[in-house]
Parts: sequence; C-alpha cells; structure tokens
Amino acid sequence: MRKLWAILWKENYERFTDRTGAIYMFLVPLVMSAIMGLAFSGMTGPQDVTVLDIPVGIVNLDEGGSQGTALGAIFSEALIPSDPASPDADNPLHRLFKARAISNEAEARALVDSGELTAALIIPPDFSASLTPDPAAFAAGGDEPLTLVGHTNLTLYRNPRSTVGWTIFRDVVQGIADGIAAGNIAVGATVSGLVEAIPAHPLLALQLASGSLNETFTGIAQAASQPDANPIRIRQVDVAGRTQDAFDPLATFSPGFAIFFMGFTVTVGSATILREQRLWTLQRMALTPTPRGIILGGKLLGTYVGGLLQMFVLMIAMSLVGLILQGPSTNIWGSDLPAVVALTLAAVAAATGVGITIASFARTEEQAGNLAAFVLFVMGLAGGIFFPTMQMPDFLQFLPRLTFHFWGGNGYTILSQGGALGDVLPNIAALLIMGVVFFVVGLYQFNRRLDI
Amino acid sequence: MAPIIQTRDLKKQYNPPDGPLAVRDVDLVIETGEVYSLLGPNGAGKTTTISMLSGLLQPSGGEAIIAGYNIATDPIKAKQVIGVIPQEIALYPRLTGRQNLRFFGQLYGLSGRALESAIDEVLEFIDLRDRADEKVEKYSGGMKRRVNIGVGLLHRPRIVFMDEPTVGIDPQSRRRILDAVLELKQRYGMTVLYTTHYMEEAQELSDRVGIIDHGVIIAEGTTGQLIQMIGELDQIILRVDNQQVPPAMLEQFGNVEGVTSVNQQDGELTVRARRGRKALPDLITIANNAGVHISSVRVQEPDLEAVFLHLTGRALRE
Repeated sequence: MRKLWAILWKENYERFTDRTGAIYMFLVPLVMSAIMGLAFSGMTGPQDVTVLDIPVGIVNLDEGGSQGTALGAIFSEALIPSDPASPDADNPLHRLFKARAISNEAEARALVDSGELTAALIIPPDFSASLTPDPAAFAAGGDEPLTLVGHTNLTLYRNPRSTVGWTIFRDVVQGIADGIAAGNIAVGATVSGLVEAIPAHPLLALQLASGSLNETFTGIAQAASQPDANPIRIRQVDVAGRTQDAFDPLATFSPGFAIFFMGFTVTVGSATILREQRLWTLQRMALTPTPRGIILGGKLLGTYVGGLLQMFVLMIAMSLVGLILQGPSTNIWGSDLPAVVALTLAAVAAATGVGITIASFARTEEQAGNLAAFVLFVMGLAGGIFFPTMQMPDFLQFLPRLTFHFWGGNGYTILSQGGALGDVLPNIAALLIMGVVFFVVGLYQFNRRLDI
Repeated sequence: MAPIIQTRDLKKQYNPPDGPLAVRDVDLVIETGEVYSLLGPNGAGKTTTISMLSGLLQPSGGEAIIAGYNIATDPIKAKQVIGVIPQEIALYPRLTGRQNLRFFGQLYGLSGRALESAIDEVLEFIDLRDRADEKVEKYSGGMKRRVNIGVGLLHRPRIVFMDEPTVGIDPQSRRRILDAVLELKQRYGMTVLYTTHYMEEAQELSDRVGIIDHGVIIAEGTTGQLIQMIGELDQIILRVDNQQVPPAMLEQFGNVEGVTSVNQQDGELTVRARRGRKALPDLITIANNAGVHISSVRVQEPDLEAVFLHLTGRALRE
C-alpha cells in the first residue's frame, strides 16, 4: 500500500508542479467557460440560439368549451404544419420545431423518455372549458362576484438530457398561452360564446342590452391582461417530475469544458507510462521489489486522482467565476453534493479509461498526445461541448451517447437544474460502464506491449 | 559456500522464433564480494545479460540464481538483494535529488527514519549532500550519474549490477565512480557485476573479467590469466625514420634474450619479446653500435584490448 501511495504521490506531484500543465489544466478551461458565459449572458430567448427541428409532441386532450370553443387546437395549429411533409419555410415555428400530434399522454411520455422527443405538451381535457364562461352563471345572477374563467394547467413533459431545445419549446408554449390568456382569444371566445348562448338563455340578452355586464367584461379584459393573473399555468415536468429553471450559459458550458480538459489531463497522465519507459524510470521501478500490478495500478490510480483533483478545483473556480459574472443565483453544478461527487467520480473514471486506451495504442508520448488531441476533440464535438447535440442530423443522434463528455456534461446540467442523484443514475451507470470497458481494453493493451 | 550469482545456459532471443539471439548459453559463477566485469563491445549482450539477471527481461532459456533465489520464479525476493545502476539516467528530472532517492527508497520498502538515514548515507557516499534539494534537471551529467548510482545503493544491496555507468561523462566524474565501485567492494563487501566496453576500467576494477562477444562469453579469468591464456608478447616499437638499417643489426636484435621476431615497416622497427622492458637496453646498445639513431621508443605490454583483438580479430571499440 505504501508503494502504491508513493507512486500516486509522485505522479501528482510532478503533474501539479508543472507550470505549463497547470495552464492547460486550470487556466484554459476557466477562461474558455468565462468567455462563453459572458458571450451568452445577454441571451433573452430562443431567437438567440440557432437550433432547428427540435422534435416535440403535442397531446391535445382538450374536449372543448361549453360553446364548442377549442382553444387547445391553437397550439397544434401554431406548431404542427398542416402538411407535415412540406412545412412552411417562412413559418419560424415550423422551422424551429419538428412537431407532431400524439394521441395520448403515455405514448408522449414514452417518446420523451426514449429521447425521440425533446419535450411533449399535454393539453388537459378541461383546457377550453376552464377558459370559457358558463352562460348559466350569467343567467343565475346573484350577489357573489361572477367568475367567468377558471384556471388550467398545461403540462410540459421533458427529457432532462435535452437542455436548450426544451427551454425554447417552453418559451414558445408560454408565448402562445400568454396570447390565449391575454384576452385576444379568451375574451373573443367569451363574447362569441355568450352571443351564441342567447337563444338558450334569454336573460342574457336582457343583461347585455341593459349594459349590466359591462363591468364584468372590463374585469375579464383587465384580469386577462395581467401576467400574474394568467389563468393558464404551465407545469414544467421532467422525467423526475421536477420544475426547471431558465437557460444558464455557464451551467451549460462550464461542466463541458471541465470534462473536456480533464479528458486531456488523464490521457496525458496515462501517456506518462510511455514517457517513463523512455526515461527508463518505469524499468527502474520494475527493478525494485515492487509487483508490476502495483506499478501500473499506482500510475493509473495517480492519473485518476489527478483528474479528480482537477475537476474539483475547476468546480470551485468556475463557481467563483459564475458568482462574479452572474451573481449568487449561479448554480453550475447543482446542490446535491453526493450526486455531484458520484457523477464526478464516474466521469473521471470514464475519461481515465478512455485515456488509458488512447495511450496504450501509441508508441511514444508524442504520438499519444497527437492521438489524444484528435480523439478527444472529436469526442468533445460529438458530446456537445461546443454546440448542442440536437443540431446533429437524426442518423448521428447516437454519437453523443458514445462519449463521456455527453454523459458527464448532461449529468451536471440535470443537477444544475435541480436534479438529484436518482436523476443522474443513468449517466453515472453509462460513465462507469464506459470507464470499465476502456480500462480493461487499455490495460490489456499496455500489459501486452510494455516490456517491463 | 554457494556462489552469489550463478547462471546456467542463460539465453535470450528477441522476437522468437526468428529473432536474433542476443545472449547464448551464458554460464556465470560469481562469488560473494567479487567485482566481476563483463567486457565487450556495444551490442555484445552485456545489457541483455544484466537485464535478465535483474529480472527486467524474461530469459528465453536457462536459469539465473541470485543469492539463492531463482530470478524467474522468485523475482521479488531476488530484487531485494540486488541494486541496479542502469546505463540510462533513470531519474525524474522535475524532482530533486533527495525526492528521487526518497521515491525509489520507498519502492525498495524503506520508510520513516530508516529511509531518511539511508538517503543521508547515500548522499554522503555520492558526495551530493549540498545539492540534494535541487531539481535533477539542473544537475550536470556527472551529478546525475552519481544520483543514478545512489538510487541503486539505497537499500544496501548485497549485489550491485552496474551497466556501463561511466558512459558519456567527464574524466573527473568517471574517476569518482570508479573509486566508488572499489569502495563498495572494500568498505561494504558488496558483490559487483560491472559491464563496460572500456578495457582499462575492467582491468582496474575487476577481480575477474568475462569477455563477451555476440552474446557468448568467449574468455573468462583474471586479467593476468587472460593475457597468459593467449600467450601475447610485449611489443617494442623503435622509430628509425628513413635511415638504412643494416641486416646485421636486425640479426643481432633477433639474438637478444626473449625476442621472438623483428619487423621493419614505415620507418619503425617492431620487436616482439617475452619481457620487453628487460630486452630494451640491449636493443638500444645494438642500434647505437650500428650507427642507427633511434628517435623514439614505445613499449606496449599486452592488455585486455589485445586479448579481445586476439580472440575476435576486432578492436573493442570497432
């Protein structure tokens, strides 16, 4: 154990006392995430993000209002092209979303859970009924204040592995709901509903004629125009049934950069086996009465611990940057500490596994560095470090899931949006599987090739 | 008492079955406290032999017993009694000399006070106490070599393998290392297996020398035994430049006691004799009497270089 500790200490002492290495490990990711944070900190809405064809579903269960109004259909009409095969290129919503109607909530949830859809909007059966008045209430009269419209809930069901696309969809749905609630639609529906109801309720005609309902209509319009009094509530639900916050550029980019650069650290760390072989220090270790397993284990464990230290230092530093740029509300890593630690342990394990494998296929340290630069950059691109993965064509959507960048970055995003350990268990599992598989491949390859 | 190092038919073939045989059927017997040199040119198989004896390379055949432990089947125990000083400067440049010693000391199983006192003792031995806390990358070549030696001595091994430890260093550092080898034997009673392609090092340090070429030990013994074995004679070289040498003078040279042959070539007379220095005064007297002026005299006594030349037809450094 002492020998393992000695190797581990030496590994990290060398790593953390190297100034050039420290710049790449800490300064570069910190500066890059700060730049991204600053660049996106003025973002106000979906129009700032160039994303297209976000797959969404609409479950319209609306059974209509008392006079046959069907407000729920407004969402479908706005988002789903009349001919899905040829969407209107001039309609920004049709360009932005690839929306489709889904017949029931269970199917929609399944599609979201599987990742086929970014989100699904569920319009409840009483949607129109809640927003259109019951003419019988007018006819009944009485001393109590008249309530013409009630409240209703729209449910947005989302997959937490999608971030930006879901936020855009939520904002668009909110906009349509605001339009309905602001009276443009609801009040119009109310009036037309009342007019249509006159033959059945003659008293209404008298009330309208005498102007006794004027105050009521004013009240409806005023109430509808107050945002706080919006009768439509959007319930934002992810697979864990948790409400979500708005798009946070630092929370989106910082974890990705931290993971990206940590990937380089652990790959370069693994490649030090090759450097030690060149310097002959690896052979010198093998000349001591130390089992080969302890030597390789100490080196690889040292690399893993180095990656962990880097991640934790970056977490603290990036949180401080966030505090400076965005104030105390910044929450890059989430608040569930055990989940953050577990996810970080798994992410570094996966990156270390990948790093060992990359290094094991190289003949020299330089070759390992070049190979790492290529492989990790491609993985970073595919894993969504530099742009949202949803921009990839459908046939490439599997790619992000092959990278530790995706599972790690997505996990931190879930946590930053209020997720807990249970929500990131799939991420942790994917990372651990990746770590174990690559570790075994890398170790086998090293064992086969290292002549010590 | 059993020899401390013993090998039987030790061989190493790289990339079998068609790869080159780097070492073939080496049988070594080295006694405790002995300094044994493996002398041979580059590529002769010296480093491969040491690598097998120290457990770094798996032999392709034969066996090596180190202090009673078979290096192939009991490597950890064998390595506890071995200190290896490799040809390469196997040190971490960004660590200090002391940190390097501490790290490798820990791998040799030392800890706490024992480790610190071993480090101090080694620093004293390699005369580097005052620079111990500087990074190795700032050391001169000679200082690095000394730390390289120090690492192999930390755990007070019974056997020290030194693989060409003087390659590429200045004469002063070289002298220091040679003195250190002698001190290891005399002061600490260590057994030293020393490889070199410098004949004079082997001659100065060794109790016995094994001459290795193309992976085979072609001769073995003390320096004297090796020279006697090949029956090599002294050579006396007399420079006469372009003077005419009378045939009678050459005949008189041939009659001097111990002289076996006389040759004239390129303004030099080369006289081979059993005891050259004893014959020299007579040779000069004869030349004076014949009126031949001798401008310079050189006596070459046989050495390991000559032995190697005799055995292989090549010079050691070819």
